[in-house]
Amino acid sequence: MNNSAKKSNDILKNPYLPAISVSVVLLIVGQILTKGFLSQNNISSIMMTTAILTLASMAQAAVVISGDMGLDMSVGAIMSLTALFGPMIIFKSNAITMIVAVVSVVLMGAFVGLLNGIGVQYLKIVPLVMTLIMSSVVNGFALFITKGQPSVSVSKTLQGVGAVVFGPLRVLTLIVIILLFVLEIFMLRRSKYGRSLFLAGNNRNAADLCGINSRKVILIAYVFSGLISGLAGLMLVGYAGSAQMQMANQYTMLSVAAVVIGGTNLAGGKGSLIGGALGSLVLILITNILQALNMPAGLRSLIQGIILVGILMINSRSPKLRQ
Amino acid sequence: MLNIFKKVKKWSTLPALVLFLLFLMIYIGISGKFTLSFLNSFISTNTPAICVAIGVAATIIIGGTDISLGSIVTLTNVIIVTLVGKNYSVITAVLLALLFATLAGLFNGLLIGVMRINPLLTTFATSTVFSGIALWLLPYPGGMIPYFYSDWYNSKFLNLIPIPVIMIALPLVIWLIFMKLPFGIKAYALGRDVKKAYASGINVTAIRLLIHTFAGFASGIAGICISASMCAGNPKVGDTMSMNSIAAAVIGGVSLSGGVGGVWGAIFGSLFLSILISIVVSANMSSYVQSFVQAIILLLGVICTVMASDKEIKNKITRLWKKEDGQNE
Repeated sequence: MNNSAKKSNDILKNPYLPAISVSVVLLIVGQILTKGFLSQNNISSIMMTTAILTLASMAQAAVVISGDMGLDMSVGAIMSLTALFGPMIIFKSNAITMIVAVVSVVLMGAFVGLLNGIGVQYLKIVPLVMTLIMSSVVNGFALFITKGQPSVSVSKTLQGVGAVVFGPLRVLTLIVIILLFVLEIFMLRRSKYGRSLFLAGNNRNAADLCGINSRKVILIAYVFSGLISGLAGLMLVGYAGSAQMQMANQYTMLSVAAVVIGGTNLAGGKGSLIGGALGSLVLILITNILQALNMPAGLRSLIQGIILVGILMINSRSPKLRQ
Repeated sequence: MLNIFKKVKKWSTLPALVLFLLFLMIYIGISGKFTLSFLNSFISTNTPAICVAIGVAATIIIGGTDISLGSIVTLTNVIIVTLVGKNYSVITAVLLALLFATLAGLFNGLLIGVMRINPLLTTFATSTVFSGIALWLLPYPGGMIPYFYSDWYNSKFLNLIPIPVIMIALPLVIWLIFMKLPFGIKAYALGRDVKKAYASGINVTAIRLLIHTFAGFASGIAGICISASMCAGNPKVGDTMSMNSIAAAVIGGVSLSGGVGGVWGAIFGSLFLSILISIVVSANMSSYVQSFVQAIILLLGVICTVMASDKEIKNKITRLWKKEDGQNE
């Protein structure tokens, strides 16, 4: 008796619970409101877009966990950058250029992340401002190089990320799911780096006293964020099939929202990558349902905002000051 | 005399003021003209940005932030155009829009103050709400406002003070009055440390509510000004304003951790940003290079101001000076 009560209590305290229950509700609502919502095609497209947002939210989560009001507002800008320049590298349709492209977009993103990290940790600029300005630098750079008219042709190899593996599962979804679990378990939970990241995010002074070089640890979190964002941009352009200027800019705030809905604390030191994936699922489901209802863009964004406010009210109210 | 010098040295607005004056001089050097009409048009085009910067600085000072102000500006603009299109008189439209903007600020304040949700997330969510309403009312740029509205905006009050200056003065004077009251000290105390502020009996909820309402009001004024200078509606007009205003506030020495800085800094910060844009535009660079150069200079500006206010780095520099002095002797 006591044991089962304890168990149900544990379930209630699960940080993933709000995101999971909301997505189940959304799936039911979607099926009621629109025909063919749970068709294989629609599910596979939901999974694809969720996978891309999941990558962005993984990038965001690492920085948020690192604490010190950590936020990466350049996720969308980096994604847009690599979405523009990544496909240019894959001029031939073979595996080697694909690998070269992946490595170079990852390096591109990591470089921007490194600049962010240096700005935040060594020049001591607040993360919000540093990454915000970095995003306008990156966007400006893309505009400068492409002269506003990107001529990007996405090769067949890259579009292969949308190929079907089986059922509604596609290559990209599979890659992201594997990456998600590998990084969650082997980077965040079981590695020395993951532990020092959580410790540095939780209490920086304590981490420093334990002999952790928290400056370096947090710097690496920013580099990791840039790196994953770079990869996300390449995946996005592979899925979309064409590239535009600043095509991924909305992913910045979406990734922050996804991370928060997934139970990560913006104060740092707490959170997970899987939570971000669940948060992404919730956000994508909302967008998908509203799009299926054929609403005007303004009304859609209005309802999206209201739902977001509702989720925040349930999920991330800070405790009363009296406590 | 030395005391005044020390005070000026510690004044948090100083880096922004110096940057602004420096770049103003560069601008005058490049364009070779500095007339009263230039000053007039400079102020009237930048009034919206300055008003938003005042609003955002207020929210940052109490330890929060507000990224929905740009969308409130858009909403004000769209509401004015829609109401004028429905044959309301311009004055009614403007006042109603200002009311809506203030209510939007109040809505933010309710969520942040009463519901205790993180300000950044709240204002992100509400900014989707506000810009959604704006896009719903006016899906495409368009609409018309009678030109006498713009003439009024570019005229002078009693043939003496330009209207834009009065528009800036509205939120500014309200804020300065706030600061003279005990409320001002309480707001800064809240920004420094929420828990200590609460423990010493400050009504945290009320201050957050009031400040966010004030920010909404300031962006409403900004929306009125921007509508006057465009005489049309645009559902994307305020998109870049929220982020630019935060950058302006930070350049102006308003610390994002709260409780440090003042609105004057934000004003000079946003003036610096606008003069920067004027320089980049007048330097005849191709428009593709402009945004890149602008962003780089912005980055350097923020690095400079942050380094100037950083005590550790300051100490290092003073130590270096002393060392050199010692060697000279």
